[in-house]
Amino acid sequence: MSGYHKREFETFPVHKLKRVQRPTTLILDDKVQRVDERESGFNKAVRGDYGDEEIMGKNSRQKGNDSFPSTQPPVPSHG
Amino acid sequence: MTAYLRDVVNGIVATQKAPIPEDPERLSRHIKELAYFLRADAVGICKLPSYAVYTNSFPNGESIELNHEYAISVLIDQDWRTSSATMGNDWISNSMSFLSYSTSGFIACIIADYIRRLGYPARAHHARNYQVVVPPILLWAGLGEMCRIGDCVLHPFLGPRFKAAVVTTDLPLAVDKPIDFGLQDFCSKCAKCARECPSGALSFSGKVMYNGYEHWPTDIEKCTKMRVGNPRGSGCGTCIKVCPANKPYTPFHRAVGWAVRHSSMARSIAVRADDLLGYGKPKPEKQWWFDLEDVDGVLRIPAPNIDSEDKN
Repeated sequence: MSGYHKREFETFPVHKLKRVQRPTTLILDDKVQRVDERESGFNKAVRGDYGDEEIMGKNSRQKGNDSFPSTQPPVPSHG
Repeated sequence: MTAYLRDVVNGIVATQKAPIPEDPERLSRHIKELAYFLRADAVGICKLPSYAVYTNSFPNGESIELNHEYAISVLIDQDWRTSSATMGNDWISNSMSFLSYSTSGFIACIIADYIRRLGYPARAHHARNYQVVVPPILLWAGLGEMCRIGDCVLHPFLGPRFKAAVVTTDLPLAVDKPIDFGLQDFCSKCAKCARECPSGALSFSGKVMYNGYEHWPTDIEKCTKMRVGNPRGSGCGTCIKVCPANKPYTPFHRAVGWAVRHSSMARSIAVRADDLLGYGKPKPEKQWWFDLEDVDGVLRIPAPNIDSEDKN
């Protein structure tokens, strides 16, 4: 293997961290139920589960994701 | 920006496998090097837990079947300089979040496309098109531990200041192991995120079990209402801003981080010192962005931020 492949290539020294067999918070693998993406907080807000005032994009003060210009997707060019 | 990546998460797999090594260690190294080449800030690989796959997709509820064996996680820093300037729930807050989502999603889409060209199935998962729940994947990939901030994983060097995207694939890869850097002890001693959360969504209490996961409980409704309905800014990342683990990667903070990872006493001292040294407060003199609000397609200067005036 060349020297290129021996170099440290990662941004942070993760190779120095203590590695363990399982995550440090308990996960009961056989008890975890798969979840429906529609039940996430944002997706509930989109469909109004948290009330009309919190529907994303309802008015200018409550657009949340898109009320600041650098968060918005660029407008396609027409030229 | 992530909206443009919504439809490029999957594609045709090359009919012929590329002449590449079959050694999983070399392939993992190669994929990580590719991710860093594409400017990822951290990368980890694990087996894809079956419970990390959603049952149904948003918004139409299609049933999800995803049987890939491996998950590659890509983290992108939300930017320390901006994080130090913001108050966490002002006008730049959501940009920090979504630009990291966009960048990690962009990298994930390229990696997935590359793997498909090698002749192996692969799918990217990012903020606008997930089929997987990300936190358990990050835990198994050795990219962090669960922290007090609601169902979030905290990275040992980036703290909570990152967003993630994932690539699932059947490319045979060597996996990373989970990590232990003392965070459970640290978060048990520190509740700064709960103290500073403007919506009161984060808990001061201990961990509980929920759906088979041990975690610190969070009021998701309060958190979401704040982020979606914040009247004085765009979104909210106050917990990320004030977390003592949200630090720059300087020699001083690297030394402190080493001590905190190795000593319970250092963790106790660090929790107190973070407040004493004034960390977690906004630095308006470092603000580089203009506070602007889109009102029906017209940008205007938002009304003064009362919280910001109080804190400064």
